[in-house]
Amino acid sequence: MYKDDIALAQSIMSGDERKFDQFFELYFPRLYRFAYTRMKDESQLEDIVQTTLMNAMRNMDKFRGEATMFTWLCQICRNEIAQHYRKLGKSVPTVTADDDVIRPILEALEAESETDPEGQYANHQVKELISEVLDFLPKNYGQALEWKYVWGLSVTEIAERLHVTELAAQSLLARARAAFRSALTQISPQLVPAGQE
Amino acid sequence: MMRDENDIPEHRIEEILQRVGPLRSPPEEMTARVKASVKDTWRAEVTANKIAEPLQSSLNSATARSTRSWQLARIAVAFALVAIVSIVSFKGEKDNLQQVAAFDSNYIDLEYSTDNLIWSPIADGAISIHSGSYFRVGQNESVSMLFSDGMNVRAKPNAIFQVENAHSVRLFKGALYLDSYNRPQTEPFTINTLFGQATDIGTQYQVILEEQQWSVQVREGQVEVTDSQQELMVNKGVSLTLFSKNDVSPREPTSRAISPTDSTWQWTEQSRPEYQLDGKVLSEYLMWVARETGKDLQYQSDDVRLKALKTTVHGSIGQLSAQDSLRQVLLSTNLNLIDSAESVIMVGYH
Repeated sequence: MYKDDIALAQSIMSGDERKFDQFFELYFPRLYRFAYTRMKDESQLEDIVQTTLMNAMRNMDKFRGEATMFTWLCQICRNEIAQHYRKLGKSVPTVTADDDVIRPILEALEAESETDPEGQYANHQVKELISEVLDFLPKNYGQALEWKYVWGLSVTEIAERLHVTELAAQSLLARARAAFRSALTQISPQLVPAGQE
Repeated sequence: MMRDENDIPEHRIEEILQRVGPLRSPPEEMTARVKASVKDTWRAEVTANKIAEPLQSSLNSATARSTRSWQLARIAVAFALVAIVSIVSFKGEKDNLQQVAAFDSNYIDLEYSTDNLIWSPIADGAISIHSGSYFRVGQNESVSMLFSDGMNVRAKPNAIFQVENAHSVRLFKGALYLDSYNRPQTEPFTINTLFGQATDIGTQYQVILEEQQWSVQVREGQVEVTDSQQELMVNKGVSLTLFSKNDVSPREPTSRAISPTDSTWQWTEQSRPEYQLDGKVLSEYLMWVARETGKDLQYQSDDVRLKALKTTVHGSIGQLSAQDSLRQVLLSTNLNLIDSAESVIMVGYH
């Protein structure tokens, strides 16, 4: 059971505006990215994500914490996207993580050259996939990893943003790396060999 | 720098994330618009919940306590009216509940419910099944039902299901097996589950529901499987597994070959409907055995096939399994079981 997520849901249902704001800031950008990779029509993206979150508010009392809050929100979003495509008489584009497809793409990411169209497309695919992996990490792990390794924030700065001690921030980053490695290993065992430095 | 023994190479993480770059962010104007709309919905839900709480306490107490009591009283009347309408509607619906199927036998280890909450043992001798009823199968026996259109549905021990109407069953737990052999193809029969639905197209198949996945296994014919993302056709000899979309890493469906004689079908023989042997043509009985066992029926020669078409059998096989009944029935004829390998029943002369 995801007790933190249950507590957040209960706070939202009780009318805690601060918790609502926290919920929105944490999940709206991730849900936006989730829908973005699945919607060919970006003009409908805002409607889809907005409807998803409004449905979540109406059904927050049904959240049981058996999956994470983000997983639950993605399920609602998937249904909205499926309904959208059904109305158009089209099938839903699927996002796959097949290892036989991913491995050469990840190998392409390792290569220096990104000048040819095929290489650029492969890189785009990988970036979308890694972005999705980050969003699906628990809590704010994905955010912390982005702050550290993309934006180059120090542990002190990350601790300030998360309102925790430096020690807690270091510990969170260690857990985030482990979770990220585990998630990547599921989609490509070749990507992060164990114990290799 | 703090490291634990399972730490991963930081330079590798850094390399990957830097190549990925900053995560895509929604436009600020969109963020503001969406937040405003969602917040309005949130406020409305919170307000509705807060009215319901004081309403309940004022209904329980004899006197109104606040200056808004007259408003709460109006709301109370509205709720009461809704409740009365609901009760009347439910009663009306109950009167209109149809018998849509019947159990093949008096089952001891079987419970029913009208709401999937309060369970009672099936009354002795009660075999009628009405639309909307819930059933919970005990661990000691499987059950068999015959629907009004000829569909035979069998439920494995520990299954929980609801008979929704004459053409659909909702599976909550466990496994159901369907055989549409005696059923004219007028309307599809559907098994609904939390994760999706399976619809028959002249088949024998089973649906197995587990915590985070469900499987559709087709023994004969075809089954159309639908969930929120796709529609798939499953053919004979295929077992398709679909996973819950609530998984952290959602998985694509997987399929594997499954023989019609695989052990996964064995439980269905225990709950097969009673078979009326007396007066049946031998070939018809042999086809029934083939269907129940999943084996391929073969005749040693055309002469043997003709013999089977012209022979009438008598008696009863009782509760013998189809396979076990075979030798007994053939004893009364001058035909024999030549070969009963894993996948074949061959009938011929000595």
